Amino acid sequence: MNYHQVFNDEVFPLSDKLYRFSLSIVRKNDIAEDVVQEILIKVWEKREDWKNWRNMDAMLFTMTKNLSLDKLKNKNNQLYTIPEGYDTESDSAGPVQRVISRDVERIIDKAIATLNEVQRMVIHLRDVEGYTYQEIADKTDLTMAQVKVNLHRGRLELRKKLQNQL
Amino acid sequence: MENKDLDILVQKYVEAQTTPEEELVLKSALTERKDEYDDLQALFGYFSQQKSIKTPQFVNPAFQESTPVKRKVISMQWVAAAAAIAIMVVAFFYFNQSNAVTSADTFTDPQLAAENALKALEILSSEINRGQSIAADQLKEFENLNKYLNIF
Repeated sequence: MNYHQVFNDEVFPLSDKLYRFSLSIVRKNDIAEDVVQEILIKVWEKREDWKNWRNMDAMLFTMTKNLSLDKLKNKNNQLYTIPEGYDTESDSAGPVQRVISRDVERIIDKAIATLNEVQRMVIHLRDVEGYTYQEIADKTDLTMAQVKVNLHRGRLELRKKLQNQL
Repeated sequence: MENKDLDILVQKYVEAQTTPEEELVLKSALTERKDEYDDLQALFGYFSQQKSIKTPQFVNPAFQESTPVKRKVISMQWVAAAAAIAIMVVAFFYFNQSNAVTSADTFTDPQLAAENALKALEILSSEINRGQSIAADQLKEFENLNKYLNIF
């Protein structure tokens, strides 16, 4: 197995997706960045084990989920106050095509922050990344039924909150 | 799209029962409606925006670790084999050469061999004598020349 080629073709290009996924859980740019960099190093170091991994893509997401949840737990234990909503980039950070206003974005950020981690990550994987229910189940170690239940509850909750504020 | 159909589709979406195709239909149907589904429209806008957020530059650990250069190690077995071949080649040439020098006996009868050897020696001694007499003549000539030179 050519480890360099597999890593460069199948693992490293997923960095952006893994970062967004981690960000949906931890909601802090620097923590999500640390998580993904740590995962990349860990996966490279474990290259001898790749042959035993049934699904590389799902494994990467599962590892990212677990580490993100660990970091979130550590931060919460340290009484770290996570700001409400996502820690979004500043305007100068890069060209983001604006579809909704900053105000609306902030309201949605706050609404999403009130959801639990599982609801946040399944909504992210479905509505932002566009994965199928089965792919989400593989990536998160949940059953398909759990994926759908969490999506349903998360979307219901979001609609309720947004209908009051928009 | 009829209001009733849209309501059903929204319901399916919230219940996580829609296919990706149905979700696309729902998104495009909502852009034409700006009333009761404002929240969903804003949510879809938010989701599409999330996909284009700036992501940091990550360090690729596979690039960091340079591939180790394999040092060429010649095993002792190969050295031994090469030495053995060299010895055999040298030995082969050495024995070939000594065979060429040693001449085989041509005479079976010892008396005949002795007679021939005697003849050969006689020829050799007569030739040596001839050479000596020529050398003596030449020496005389040279001495004469010296005498004349001394006079002048």
